[in-house]
Amino acid sequence: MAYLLDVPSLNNIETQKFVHDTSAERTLSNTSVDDIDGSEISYTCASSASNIIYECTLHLWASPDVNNTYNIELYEDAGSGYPSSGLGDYYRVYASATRLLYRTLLNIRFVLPTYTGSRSYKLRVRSNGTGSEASITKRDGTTTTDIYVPVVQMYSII
Amino acid sequence: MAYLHINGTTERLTNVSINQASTPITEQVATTSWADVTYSSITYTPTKDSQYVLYEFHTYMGVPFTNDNECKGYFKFLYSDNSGSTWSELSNSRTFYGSNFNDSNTMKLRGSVTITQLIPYWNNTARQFKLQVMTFTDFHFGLHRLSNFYGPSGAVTPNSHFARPFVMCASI
Repeated sequence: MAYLLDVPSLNNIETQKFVHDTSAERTLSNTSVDDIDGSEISYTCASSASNIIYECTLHLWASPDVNNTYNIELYEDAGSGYPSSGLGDYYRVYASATRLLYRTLLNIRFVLPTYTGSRSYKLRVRSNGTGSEASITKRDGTTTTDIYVPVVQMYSII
Repeated sequence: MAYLHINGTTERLTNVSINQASTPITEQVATTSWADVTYSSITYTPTKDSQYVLYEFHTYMGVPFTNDNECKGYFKFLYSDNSGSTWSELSNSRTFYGSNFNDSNTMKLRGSVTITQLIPYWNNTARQFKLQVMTFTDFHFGLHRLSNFYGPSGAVTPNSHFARPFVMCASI
C-alpha cells in the first residue's frame, strides 16, 4: 500500500493484499495435479474495480529430473469449494527447460474479471510425465526445509 | 508489479494503465530481423512531475511450437513522441531470453515472462512504447503460445492455447 496517494484521482490501485505463507512446503510437480503450497489467497474486489490482478512469484527448481516441466493453472473458489477444473485458457502457464537443470524465479500474473463478495484462488501444478518432474518453492540445498516462500498478491485496478 | 515496495513516502505508483488483448494472439515467431512484438504497444501520459514511468509486458515466450530447440530471443524497447511516425530506442534497455549455447535438442526453454522497463519522466504528454524482437541464425524464438499443457485429464489439445498478453504503464 506504499503507493496510495493523498490525491484520490491519481490512485487507481486499491485493496492490495499480500500473502507470504511462511509455513509453505515444497511442492513436487509430478503427474498428479497438486496444490502449490503458499499460492492461495482470498480476496474481495474494490467496489469500482475494472480489473483484478492475481500475481504469484515462485521458485522453480530442477529436481529430481534433469528435464523439468510445469503446467500451472489458476483455480477459483467462488464460495462452494474449489472445482476439479481450473479456470482454463488464459489462466494457465507452461514452463519447461530440457537438459538444463534450470532454476529460476517465475512471475505469474493473471487478469481477472471483477466479481462481488469474497473469492479464493490458488495454483495447481503437474508435470508432463515421470521424466520431467521438478520442484517448486525449493531455493537451494538438498532438504525440503530450504524454501523460497511464494509471494502472492491481488489488487484491484480502478 | 511484484515490486510495489517503493522507497519512502514520496515514490508511489499512480495512474496505472493496463491493456489486455481481448482475443488470443496467435504465435509470433521471431526472425533474424527486428519485428514489433504483437500487443506490446501502449500509449501513455504520465502523472505530472513523476520521476519515472514503469512499463511492463507479460506473455509466454521461448522455443516456438514448430522448432523447439536452441532458444534465443533478443528484445529492444522503442518509444515515439509523434504517434508512431518516428521511433527511438531507449538507451540501455535491451533484454534477452534464452542462451547462446547451440546444440541439437537443447535449450527447450519456455515460460511466462514479464519484460520490465523504467523510463525517465519526459513531460505530461503522451508517448507510445513498443517492443521489438529478433532471433539469430540457427536459433529459434516464439511468443504468445502455450505449445502444450497438461491438466487433470492429461494433455490438452495442442495449438489451442494462445496467450492474451497484456501491457501496462504506471507513473512513479
